[in-house]
Amino acid sequence: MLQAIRDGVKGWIAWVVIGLIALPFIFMGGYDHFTGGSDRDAVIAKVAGEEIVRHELNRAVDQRRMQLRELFGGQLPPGMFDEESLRREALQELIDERLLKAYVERQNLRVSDEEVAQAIRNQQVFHEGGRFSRERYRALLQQNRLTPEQYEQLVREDLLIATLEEALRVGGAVVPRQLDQLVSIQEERRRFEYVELEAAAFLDEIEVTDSEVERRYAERSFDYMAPEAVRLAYLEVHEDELADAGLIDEMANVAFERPESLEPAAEVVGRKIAHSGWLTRDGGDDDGLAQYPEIVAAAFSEDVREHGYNSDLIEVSGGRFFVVRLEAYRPPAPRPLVEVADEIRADLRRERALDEARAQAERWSAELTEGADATLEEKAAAHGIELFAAGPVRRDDRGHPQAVVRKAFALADGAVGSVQVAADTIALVSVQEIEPGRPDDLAEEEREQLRQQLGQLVAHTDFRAFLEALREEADVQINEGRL
Amino acid sequence: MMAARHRYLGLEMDRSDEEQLQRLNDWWRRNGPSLMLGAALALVVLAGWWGFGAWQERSAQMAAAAYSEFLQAERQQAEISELEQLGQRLLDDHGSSGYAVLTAMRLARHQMDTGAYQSAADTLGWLVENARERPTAELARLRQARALAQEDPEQAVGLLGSDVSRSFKAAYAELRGDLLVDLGRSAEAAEAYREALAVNGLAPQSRELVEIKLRAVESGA
Repeated sequence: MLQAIRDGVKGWIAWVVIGLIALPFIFMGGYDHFTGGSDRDAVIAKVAGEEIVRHELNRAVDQRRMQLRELFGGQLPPGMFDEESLRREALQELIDERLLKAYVERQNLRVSDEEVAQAIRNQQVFHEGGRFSRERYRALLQQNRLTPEQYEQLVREDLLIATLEEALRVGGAVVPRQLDQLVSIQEERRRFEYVELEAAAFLDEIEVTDSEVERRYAERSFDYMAPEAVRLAYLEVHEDELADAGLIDEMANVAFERPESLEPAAEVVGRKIAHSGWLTRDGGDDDGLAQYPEIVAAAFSEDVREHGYNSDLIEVSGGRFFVVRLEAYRPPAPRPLVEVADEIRADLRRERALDEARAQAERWSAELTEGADATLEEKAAAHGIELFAAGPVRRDDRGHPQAVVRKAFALADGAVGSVQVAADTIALVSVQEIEPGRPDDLAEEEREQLRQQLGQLVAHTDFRAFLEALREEADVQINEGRL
Repeated sequence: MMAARHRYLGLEMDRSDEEQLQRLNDWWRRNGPSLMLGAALALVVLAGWWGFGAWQERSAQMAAAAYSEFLQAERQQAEISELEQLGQRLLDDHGSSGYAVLTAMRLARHQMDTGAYQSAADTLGWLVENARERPTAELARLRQARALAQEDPEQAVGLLGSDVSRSFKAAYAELRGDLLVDLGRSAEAAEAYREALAVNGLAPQSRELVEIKLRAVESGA
């Protein structure tokens, strides 16, 4: 649980850091957003009558990307941030910013000229040799087509919002009783036993008839589809086999310039066009191309699969290069029953075996709860199943399956209950003893740390709710089509 | 003949001037007073508007200065009594200013840090009454209930029962759950936690925490 709080705090800190360093990022890259562009003024959203236009959003997306890159040490983890969610998040931030700006204006808050000047002087981006440089300030502003008055106004708005944010954040705090409540949850320890009932143990008892297989096929034939597949025409060259390695680039250029055929590219390198077997998105059992994920990805790319163009040059390990194009496409289609009957039979048996395991767990659970003369230990011994004993452990224990620990902490003292712990396993959990957490046992230093972290989490939650409430009160329109 | 004609014209002109003057006098007698009154009123309104603008600007500056003084005392780690005095003065003198919102929030935090939970609840209660915008009042009420949780959880639950906007529903329900746990009303607490989870307004980390609290109260620990 502490981890949950700490994660929350980390999120909050990252968010604050992003907020505070946003402005100087105006000066890093993305200059074009201040200048040309055909629809740079297209309205993306309106917040209480004030517009957010495309170039503002583009700039915010760029800034966000740069901030994230800094947070991740220069490189964004691949696949973690897609463009659409970056745009959506950046737009949300712009909307929040407008809402806060409108709020501080209504509150008639002020920032003095000296404070604005001081903030600008402190911005590292204008520093040269460790000091604020007027020349650099003017040059950067000019590069970004901003007058000092416009920039000062931006800084003023930022400072006003920061003043509000800071006061609301400072105001987030918890009282000792709330802290005690959390500490007692966190420090609570439980002793429990459990057994794992595996579906495999019940498989032998399961019979599946042909009519059941047919019924499942009729009901869920989409679960048993042959995946979409492509057959490719391709050129393969090895850099060692060519007299001039420059021919590879030339082949790539010709393939790009003449996207409607592979022939011209083949002529460049004097190779014959080869043909693949069927390839699916997860490879398939083709004659060899399927082993290269780069080729499979290119085969299903928009250019190759949808438009029918030649692919870009694809390099695979060992100095081999490919250009591929689509020769045939096979859409996904249901496989005939005769082909999938065994697969369906196996699925049905597995499902029913798991149901049997669950039913057995529930029967035992009822027997043990009703105070029958057996214990879980005796049941396990009688059926030759291993009994696991845990504890006393806290709820953040990682020594036992998480689903089991979670269940053990959801049951009352002495209760028994079952839970699925894996695709083919049901666990039966019996709580033996509960030791309530004692807030007084927590060292003063740790308590103070927890108090501060919890205060920050509460402040963050409060602030989000406050922003949402501002949004609820204001008229916010988003033009989804232009996003 | 010519001289006679001139005299005649002169006579005509004199007569025409006199008539015009007469008409002007008549017009002035009819409209003069209301015109003067109108002009005077316009001047008064203009002066009033300028005066109001200047007063507003001066009040805003004075509120900003008072807030700055409060922050200065905070930075110098002044005693709570001094912060309360400075804060209260700002709330009294500039109650309708946005700085009153910021000051009340900060002052309440200092009061909570020094264990003056009832005073913190009173400060936030003032903000609930005086906030000009609903989000501010709802945030203040949430924090007022949190301050009261220490000494009077029953009253705190009462504060959270009132109508609240959708955005604050999850936070209100979560705190209500905490208070009800404290009051030993487990079934109601579980219901409140379930409500907080159902509203879908919690950040992922807060959500996880509420789920843990719900499981804890359901397991009767």
